[in-house]
Amino acid sequence: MEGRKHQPIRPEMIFKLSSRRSPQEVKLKSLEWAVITQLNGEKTVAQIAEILALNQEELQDIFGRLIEEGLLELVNQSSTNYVVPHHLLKEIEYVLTLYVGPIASILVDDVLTEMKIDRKNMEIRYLPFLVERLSYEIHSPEKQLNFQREALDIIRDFDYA
Amino acid sequence: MIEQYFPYLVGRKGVSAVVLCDKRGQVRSSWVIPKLNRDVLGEICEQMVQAFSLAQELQFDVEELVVPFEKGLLYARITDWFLLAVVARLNLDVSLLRLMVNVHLADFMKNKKILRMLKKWPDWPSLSTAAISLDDIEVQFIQQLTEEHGGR
Repeated sequence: MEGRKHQPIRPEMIFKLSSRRSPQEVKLKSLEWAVITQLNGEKTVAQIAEILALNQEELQDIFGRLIEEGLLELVNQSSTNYVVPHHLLKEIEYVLTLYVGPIASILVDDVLTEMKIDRKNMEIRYLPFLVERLSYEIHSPEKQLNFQREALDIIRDFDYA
Repeated sequence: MIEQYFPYLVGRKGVSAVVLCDKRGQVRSSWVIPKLNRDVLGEICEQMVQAFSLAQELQFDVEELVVPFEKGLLYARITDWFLLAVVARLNLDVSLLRLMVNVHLADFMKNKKILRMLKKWPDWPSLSTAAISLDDIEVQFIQQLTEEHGGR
């Protein structure tokens, strides 16, 4: 299994069995079969890992092999949307500008630095915390709430569960 | 009521229940996913009332509680008139829950009709009627416990 190249398996990914190839055609190990039996197009990788008590390495190896064998199809698109699109961060920054003025971009950078997150590679799961943290930079409680409301409208459609 | 005023939470992936409790622990309104047993809601309300009323009695400035359990978490918020509890999956981001609750609660309590209704809901149960006194041994025991834990 060493040296295998496949895209990293992320906890929020959801897979289903591929219609192009049957698991019967491949010689699978018992844990790989166990994963196959859990696939229903709804459970996330994290949920399956929890049910089967898989550690990170096993998870990467098993899902990686099943993908390589052509047995899995990705159901959700969260892997491709995993990193926050640049325009989305800009949109939040713009909304913040309406409340704090031109200092908004500096505040975003400061908060991202505090969170030890690179603007270009920010994962979607950090968005709610970023918005919440940025809202604390607004002193008026009413404006703070309005910013939260506007920012929530931008970020709420992502799948965080 | 919950469906109308808490739309971001209702039906959201990872959210299992949204419950509105009065300060006596009664369920006033709720939304739950079909899999969840509604019988637990009353218990959730009662426990949250206990926790928040104790915090208030001890003059702790607590306005939200997050209680993780085996496969999920309970997020609860206190307002002047009621408690809102959300049962969610453990991996649902608490910041997101907090943002959604902030926005919904503000709109909910701004509604005059709702506000009139809320003002009729009961306040905390009076703790003074159930006041307890500690004997010397109990006092010593509690002092010993708190000293061992640095006063916490």
